[in-house]
Amino acid sequence: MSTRKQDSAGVSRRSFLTGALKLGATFGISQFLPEFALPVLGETIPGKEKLLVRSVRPTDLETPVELLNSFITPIDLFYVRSHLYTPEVELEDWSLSVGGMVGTPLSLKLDDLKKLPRKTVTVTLECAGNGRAFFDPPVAGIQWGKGAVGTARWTGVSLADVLKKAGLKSGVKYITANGADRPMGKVPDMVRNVPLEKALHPDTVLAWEMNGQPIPALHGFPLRLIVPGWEAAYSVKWLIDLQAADAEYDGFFVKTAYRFPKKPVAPGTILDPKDTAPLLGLVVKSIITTPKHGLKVKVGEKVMVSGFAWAGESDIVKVDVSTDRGSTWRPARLGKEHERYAWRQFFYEWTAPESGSHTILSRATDDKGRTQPVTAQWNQSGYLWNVIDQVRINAE
Amino acid sequence: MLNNQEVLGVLGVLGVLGVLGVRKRRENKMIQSFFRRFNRKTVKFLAISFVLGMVFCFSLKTTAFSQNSILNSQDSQDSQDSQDSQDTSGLPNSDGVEVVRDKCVVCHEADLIVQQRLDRAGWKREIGKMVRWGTKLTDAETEKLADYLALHFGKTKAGASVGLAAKGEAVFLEKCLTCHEADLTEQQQLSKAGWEREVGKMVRWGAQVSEEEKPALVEFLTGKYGVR
Ligand code: HEC
Ligand code: HEC
Repeated sequence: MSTRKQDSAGVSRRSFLTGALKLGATFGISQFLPEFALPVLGETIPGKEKLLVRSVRPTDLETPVELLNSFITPIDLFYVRSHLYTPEVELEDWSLSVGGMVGTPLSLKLDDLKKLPRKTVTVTLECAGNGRAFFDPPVAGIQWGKGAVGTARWTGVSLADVLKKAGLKSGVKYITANGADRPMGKVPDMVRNVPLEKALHPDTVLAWEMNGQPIPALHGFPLRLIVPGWEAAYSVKWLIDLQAADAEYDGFFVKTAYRFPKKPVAPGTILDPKDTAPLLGLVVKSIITTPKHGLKVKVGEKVMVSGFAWAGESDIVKVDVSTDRGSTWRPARLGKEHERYAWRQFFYEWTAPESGSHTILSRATDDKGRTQPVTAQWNQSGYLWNVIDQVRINAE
Repeated sequence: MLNNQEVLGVLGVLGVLGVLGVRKRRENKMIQSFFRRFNRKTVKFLAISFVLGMVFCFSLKTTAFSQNSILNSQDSQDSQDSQDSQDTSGLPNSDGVEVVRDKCVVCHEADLIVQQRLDRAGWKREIGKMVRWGTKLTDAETEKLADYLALHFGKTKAGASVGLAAKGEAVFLEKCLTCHEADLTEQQQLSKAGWEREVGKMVRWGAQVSEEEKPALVEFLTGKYGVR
C-alpha cells in the first residue's frame, strides 16, 4: 500500500516536472521559472491534508462538509480557491501600492498599515461556484460540491482609511485590486474591482491576520482584501496594488467571469457577457453538515441534525427542516454566535420513526424574506447554487 | 541529495569526457589541448565512470520499466471490473491522449480536465478559452482533442475501456435494433448495474447476446447512456 502511494507521488511529481519543462519551452523559461519553484507536489498542501484536492496547481481544495462543525472554521479545514499559482511573497520585498485617481499615490509596507486603527470582521467566504457540480447540464469549471465555504476572523484596517490617506479624486467609481499571483502564458491576470460604495464601507478591510495568525500563503499572505458578504472572488489574495478608477476594469475576471444572466435562461443557454451582470452579494443558503450523507442510524436513536445558513450581507432569520421530503417544515434552533457577515449554525433534533431511508431537508430564510429555491437557476458558469439542501440517512 | 536523473546526468557528462579522453589522439586540437591538462589516471577514471554510468543507466531503465509494467498490469486488472481510468492521471489511453498530455497538462494537471462533464460543443468552448490563454493547437489537434474529451469526459462518464466499448457498440448495432429502434435506449440514463439488468431482461425477451458479449455491451451502454 505505502509503496504504491509513493509510486504515484513519484509519478505525479515527474509529470509536474515535465509539465514545468513544457511550460518553459512554450512560453520562455525566464518568465515562468519562479512559479515552478513553488508548488512541489506532495508538499504543496501541508496543513490541508483533510481537504479534497480539486486541482493540484493552481491549488483548489474543498472541505468535506461533514468536517464543518464550528462557527469559526480552523485554517486546516478552510477551503482554497486559486485561479493562478500561489505566489511566494517575501515580506521584505512586499509593498502595497495605491494609485490611479488619487491625490497622493502611496506605497505602503505592512508596518505602515499597522499604524492605522485596527478592524476585525468575521466573514463567511463562499466561492461563487460552490455547488457547480450539481448543475444540469454540467458546466465547465472546478466541480465543487458543497464545501467551498468557510468562516474566519480577519484582522487588518478599513480599506476606507487607506483610501482616505491617498485622497480619492472626484469621479472614482471602482477600486481595482490586483494580487501578486502572476498568470502563465496568455492566461489573464486575476484582477477584480469593487464598486466605490462597498469599497468605502468601514467593514471592507485589508487583512493580514486570519483567525489570529498571519494569513497563510494559500489564503493570501501577507495581505488580503476582504469584501464581506460578497462572493469570495472579491476578496483578492496576495494584494499588491489598488487603483482608483472611473470605469469597470477591462479584464477577463471582471468582464467575462463572475457574471450572472440578467434574466433567467433555459438550461444550456450560452449568453454574451453583455447580457450578464457582475455577481455581488451571496444569496440565501443552508447546508446540512451533520449527519453525514448516507449515515446509518438506529430506529429510535436521537440524531442531532446541524449545519450552517448564510445570506451574504443579509441576516438569517430562520432555518426550517423537513423530514418528510418537504411536506411539512419545522424550525431549527439557531446557534448563539451571530455576526453580521457570518453564517448561523442551526440544530434540529430528530429521531428516526421507522426503518428505511429518510431524507432530511434544510431551508433558510433571510431578513429580506428571500428563501432557498426548489430548483436552481441554471447559468453557464455554474454560480450561486443555493437549492434547498438534503442528506439521506438510513435507519435500521 | 541528488535524484536519479541528476546522478545520471553527472555520470553522463563524466562518461562523455572519458570517451573523448580515450580517443584524444584521434581527435582535434581543441580536445587534445583540453585533455593535456589531465594525467593518464584522470582520463582512465573518466573512462571507467563512463562504463559504470552506462551500467547504472541500464539498470535504472530496467527497474523503471518493470515498475511500470507492474503498475500497468495492476491497473488493467482494476479496469476489468471498475469504471476507473487506466493511468494515474485519469486520462484514458485512446486516440488524442497524446495531445492532452503534450498541450494541456502544462499549466495544470489533468485533474482539472477529468472532473468536467461537457458535450462536444462545451469542450470546443473550453479549448477555445485555453487557446486564447496560450495553448498552441493546429486545427487537426483541436478536432482530435474535442473528440477525445467529449468521448471520455462527456455528459456521461465514458467507461474505462474504450476498446471494450467499441466492441460493445458493434454488438448493440447488430443485436439490439431488431425489435425496436435505438430511441428506446437513447432516452435512458442508467448505472452499470441498471444496464446489466436491462440487458438481462432483453436477453430473456429474445435478444441474441452471448455471455461473452455482455460485458462489452454493458460498457458501451453505461458509457453512452449512463448517469452523469
Ligand atoms: C497557458 C496555461 C494553460 C494551458 C496550456 C492550458 N490551460 Fe487549462 N487552465 C489554465 C488555468 C490557469 C486554469 C484555471 C483557471 C481558473 O481556475 O479560473 C485552467 C483551467 C482549465 C479547466 C477548468 C475549467 C476552467 O475553465 O476553469 C479546464 C477544463 C482546462 N483548463 C482544460 C484545458 C485543456 C483541455 C487544455 C489543452 C487544450 C488546457 N487546459 C491548457 C491554464 C492553461
Ligand atoms: C426480442 C425483441 C427485442 C430485442 C432483440 C431487444 N429488445 Fe429491447 N425491448 C423490446 C420490447 C418489446 C420493448 C418494449 C417494452 C415495453 O414497452 O414495455 C423493449 C424495450 C427496451 C428498452 C426500454 C426499457 C424497457 O425495458 O421497457 C430498452 C432500454 C431496450 N429495450 C434496450 C434493448 C437493448 C440494449 C437490446 C440489445 C441487448 C434490446 N433492447 C434488444 C424487445 C427487444
